[in-house]
Formats: sequence, C-alpha cells, structure tokens
Amino acid sequence: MENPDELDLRLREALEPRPETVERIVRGALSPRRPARRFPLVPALPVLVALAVAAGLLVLAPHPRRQAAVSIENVGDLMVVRHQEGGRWLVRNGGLGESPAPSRSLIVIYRNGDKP
Amino acid sequence: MEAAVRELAPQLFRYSLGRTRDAGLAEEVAQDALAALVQRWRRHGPPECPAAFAFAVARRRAGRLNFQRRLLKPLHALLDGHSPLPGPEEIATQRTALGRTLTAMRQLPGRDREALLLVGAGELGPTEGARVLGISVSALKMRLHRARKRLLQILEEKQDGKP
Repeated sequence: MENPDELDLRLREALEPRPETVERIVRGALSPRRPARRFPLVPALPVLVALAVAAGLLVLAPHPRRQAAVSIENVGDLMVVRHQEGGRWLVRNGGLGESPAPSRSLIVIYRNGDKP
Repeated sequence: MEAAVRELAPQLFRYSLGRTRDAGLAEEVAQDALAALVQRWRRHGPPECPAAFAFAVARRRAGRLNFQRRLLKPLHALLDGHSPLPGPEEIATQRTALGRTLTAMRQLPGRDREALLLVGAGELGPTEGARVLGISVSALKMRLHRARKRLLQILEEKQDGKP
C-alpha cells in the first residue's frame, strides 16, 4: 500500500484551491459586513405553495357520501331493513323464550359501481 | 486571528470541495465557516481549537447545502429544462485529476470519506478530527485506514483502465 502521507498529499493537490480563491475566502470572512445570502428555497416557493394549496383542497373538499343500497338495523328484538328505493321491512322476534338485553347494531350494504 | 484564518482557508476549501463537489459551493462553505470563527473570536475570544470550531461549522453547512441541492435538483431540472446527463463542462472536469479524485471519493462509504476529507484533505489532527465527528480517536483511525485503502484501490483500478 502507498504511504498514507503520499495519498493525502495527492488528495490535497487535487483539491487545492487557486490563490485568488483563498484570497476571496479570507477577505470575505474578515470583512465586517458580509452580503446576505439569498434564501435557497426561493425558486421552489411557487411550487411549494401550489402543492400546499392542492393538498388543502384535497383534504377540505367535501367527499360525496355514498348512499346505502340496503341497511339492516337491529334495535332490541326488532330488525329494520331499509332499501335505497324506499322500501322498509320490520322483522320482530317471534317472542319465543326470554329475550336478551336490548342491543343495537347496524349493517349497511353499499352498491359498488353497477353491481349491487 | 488573521493568520489563523489565512491558514485555515485552503484546508476548509479542500474539505468543502470534497464534500460538495462544487468549487462555488466549497468557497461559500469555507467562507461561512471562517466568518463564524471570526465572529466568535471578536465576541468571545478564540475558541479552544479554532480549526475544530471552523471545521464543525463547515461540516454542518456542507451537509445542509448537499441536502438542499438534492431536494431542489429535480425542481431545477424541471424548471430550467436541464438534461440529467453531464454537460460538456462536467465531462471536461471529470477528466482532470480533481474530477478523477472526486469520482473516486464518491465511491467511498460516507463515514470513511468524511474522515479522510477532514484529516487527509483538511489537515486536521486525529484528535481534532475525532472531536468534529464526535467519535473516539481509535474509531477515526480505523475509518481513515479503511478509506485510504479503498481510495487507493479505486484510483489504481482507474489507472489500469478497469471500469
């Protein structure tokens, strides 16, 4: 393996700045007032604003609510079936035996495209 | 103070050029780091180790610039219509010793490259280098050994014309 010092020397030679560059760096660093650096994200600002607005619209826009094709609701010992087109059926427990504590549940079936 | 700034300027430039691969950005990073050093010196006196102070600032600044560049690269390509392929100027640079070195450096793992740039290119001592990186001196030496070995291997492969 090459001597580490020689390799470092090669590295330094390749990356060595020009004297005028060094002079500029020193002058700039020592000057009492340095020019303000321009904000690096300025070119991206319009695009970032547009993206933020699009994201906001996407979140805030009202989503169309899908209408249920059929809903089956259970209230105590009564079952209510509602159809999208207006039909409604009530199904009651036959009253056999002791009825459990009243509970409530709902099943909603949506249409998916043309398929019910 | 001026003597320290003058001594550190080329060291910081070499380190920053290795990090950013852009002479303009390297100059900006080196100048920012030295300006921070000068400001600190004027307000509170010299830091314990001026070199470690300036290199720590340069390291953060180069990292931020690289991040911003990566972030804005697709946007610039979109807005300016630049081709993602290297232009004639970039191709010419790649053929120089600097270009070959920078290309070889890019193939090193980030941590090893950082260690080599601080100590090899930036001429920081192992103690100061370890301090800037926040690691032990022995860990730094290990990284340096690995980086030098790999860099030499890459440069030799390139010299032999291997891809």
